[in-house]
Amino acid sequence: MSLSRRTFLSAGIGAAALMASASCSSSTTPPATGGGVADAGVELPTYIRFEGVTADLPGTDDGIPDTFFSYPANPQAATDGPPADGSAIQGSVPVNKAVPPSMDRNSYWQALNERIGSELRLTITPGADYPQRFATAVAGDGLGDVFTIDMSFAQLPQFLAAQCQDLTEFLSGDAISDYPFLANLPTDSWRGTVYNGAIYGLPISRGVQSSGLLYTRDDLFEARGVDPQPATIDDFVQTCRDLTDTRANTWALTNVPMATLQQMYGLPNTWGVDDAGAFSHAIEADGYKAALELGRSLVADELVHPDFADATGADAKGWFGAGSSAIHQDTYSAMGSMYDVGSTAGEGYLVGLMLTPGEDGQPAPFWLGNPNNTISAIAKGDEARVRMLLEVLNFLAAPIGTAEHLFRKYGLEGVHYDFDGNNDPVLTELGETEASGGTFPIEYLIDGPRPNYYPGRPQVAQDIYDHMQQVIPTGVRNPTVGLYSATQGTVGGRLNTTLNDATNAILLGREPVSSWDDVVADWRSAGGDSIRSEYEEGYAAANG
Amino acid sequence: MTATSARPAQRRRPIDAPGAPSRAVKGVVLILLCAAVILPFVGIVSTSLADRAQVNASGGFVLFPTSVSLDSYRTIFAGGVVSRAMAVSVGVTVVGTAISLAVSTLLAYALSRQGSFGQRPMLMLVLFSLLFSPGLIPNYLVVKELGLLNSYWALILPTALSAFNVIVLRAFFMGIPAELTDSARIDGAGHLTIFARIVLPLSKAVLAVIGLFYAVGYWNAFFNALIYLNDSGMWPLQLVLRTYVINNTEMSATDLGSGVENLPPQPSIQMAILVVTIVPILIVYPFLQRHFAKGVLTGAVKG
Repeated sequence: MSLSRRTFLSAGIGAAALMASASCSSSTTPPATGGGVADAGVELPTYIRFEGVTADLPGTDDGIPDTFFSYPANPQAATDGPPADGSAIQGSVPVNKAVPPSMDRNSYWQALNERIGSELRLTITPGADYPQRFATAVAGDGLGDVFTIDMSFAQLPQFLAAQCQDLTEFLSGDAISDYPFLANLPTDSWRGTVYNGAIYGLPISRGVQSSGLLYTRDDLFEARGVDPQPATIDDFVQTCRDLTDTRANTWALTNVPMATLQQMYGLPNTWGVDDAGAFSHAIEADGYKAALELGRSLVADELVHPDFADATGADAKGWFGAGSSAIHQDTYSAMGSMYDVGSTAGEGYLVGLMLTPGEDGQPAPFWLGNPNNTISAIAKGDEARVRMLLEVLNFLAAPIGTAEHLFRKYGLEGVHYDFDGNNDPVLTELGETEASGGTFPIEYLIDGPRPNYYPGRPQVAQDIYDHMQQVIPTGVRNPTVGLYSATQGTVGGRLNTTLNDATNAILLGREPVSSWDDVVADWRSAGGDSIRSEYEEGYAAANG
Repeated sequence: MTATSARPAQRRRPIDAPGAPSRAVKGVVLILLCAAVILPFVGIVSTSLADRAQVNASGGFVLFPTSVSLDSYRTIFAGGVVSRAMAVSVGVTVVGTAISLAVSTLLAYALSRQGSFGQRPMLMLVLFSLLFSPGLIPNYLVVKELGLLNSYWALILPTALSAFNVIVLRAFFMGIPAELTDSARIDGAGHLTIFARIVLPLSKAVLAVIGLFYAVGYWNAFFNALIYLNDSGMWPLQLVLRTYVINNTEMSATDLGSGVENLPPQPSIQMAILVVTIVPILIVYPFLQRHFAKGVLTGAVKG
């Protein structure tokens, strides 16, 4: 390491300059966008469906993804040659699994570089630490060429305008046809990439897979002779009673499924908007108190696992897998892990998906999850470099059934995976480690549309498709998707924590349900009303 | 007389020999205290060795495993990531502790000698850093401008000197009788000789303790690596293992299509991680035990 006096001095000056700029930062930050200005004035990329692969059950226009019972046979290359120009590409991504071996010791990563045509130097950070890493790297200009955005970053629009490439001219409207796999991403997902009236990011699309529902242990339901599809809210409570046997240490529910209970009472999906463009939060509706009352009675009647209040998601899933509880609220994406947790439960282990009953005896309107896990962005650069990076991301967005996808998710045949009798790729131990079990963190730079595909479990794919067919048409969107609220960005996290604490206090019987009015009043004065008006402003701008 | 009759009774039961009931109570309390300390550790080791059926049956925390499975350890050591990270951690801890001890003792010695050049301003600077520490981003920018990003030095140099440890060392050095150093000076010894041949040999206790403080600090540190290292192949053990502890709680969201079925249960993996992170530093303690009490007291009663 060489360290000259000049370097040392400049480091000190750098630190001093930063401290100075912290006190007068308003002079250097780009203009704020005011409230929430979303896709006002910008033409979203045209959706061009990739027709190269035929699904076993094709997806629908209202969002049901393509369904596959086995991996499509004979996947063909859909691109010609490496997309990159040979120069190194720096990137920053979070990882939500164990960190994969570094590039020098990872044959999957090396093969990926070969296919891309450049060295992909990724800084991989554990997901929980990514916000802190992201904030530091923003200040130190250390994110690289392409990076996952931390959506909780305060003043996100300003950051995007200052440091990220405006991609509108490359992707808006028909321009996206230069990148066919990016054009294959649904329009809903692109809506979340628009800030400051321009396209500043690329979606990490999840479609409807991030929507929540109740999973049921159908084998346990059958053993007790209970119908896993209750028709009314009262039936649901009775179902919970039938499945609970506290002396045998079994409780119906892993936790209080507040999102599902709100759906039962027909509440808006977090935020609702009326015809006049006025926003209201679900917590302000009377139905929320009914949902709280139902949740409180479920806890009071000992129908919920007694350790639910301080349990992690993994704990709750563990109880579901072990049979301590038979109903668990999670997203469609979690289906794979619902089977993972029951891997020692034997042959009969069976997971079902409940249709949430509504107040009127019909299935409740279904809350659609955020169509994006997050977004990624490209650092400002000259046109040739930006186009090259978009080519790489296009390559990395190849959908299931292409040779590019097969490699990206599973690596090299015979090394990282082998095909089983059902033509499903099964990862080897090396593939599990090097390719992160099929989720190498490049999936947080870009990913293709997420299909319904469960290797080795065609019935599961069918069950999910059937469930989606019934609930997706009743889907309720969260109207704030694609809108930005500066107040939500700065104090939203704290407000949510306060609301969660107050909800738990009521569920656990420490506070009466009637105390909720005060909680809402506090929430409104502490920032809720500002968030509302910013969303309303953004909504009005986007919808004329 | 009452006074004379009481004396033989006092002789029969001296103050340091309590009766049987008292001893029994103390024994029970001590056993309970020991159990409170030891049982969780036994539970950690046992859970790390348990298989999924046992973990499920016992609600996530196994005290006495009926069968032993090393799958959790195999999982975290698979791929060599953990082995490599352990080497990094050991290297950073050894080199870092050596550097820290060297700079801390030198500074503390200088600050402990009355009349050293710039002694008071220097002492003020050290104390100032105890009261006010720079924020994360200024630190990052300094490390970046020094060209230390993505280098092991970024894990060592920013934390090489702890003001608290310097103050403790200085207090100890000031307690060394001036007669010893004065006689050495009369014999013609310079500061370096006095420092190396008189002060340091007399300070083994405090050096052992301060060395341990530094070593534990380097061993447990993960945040510097998270911020300063871009290459995950350079990560120390704590950061690699942190990804298991944190991210295993959220594995499901990204697990579509993975096809993994026989992962060891989460509690076993997490407990195996605890064992791997605790044991190496635990091994150091017995070697420093005899210095420990004296060294800790030094900082407690002098300042």
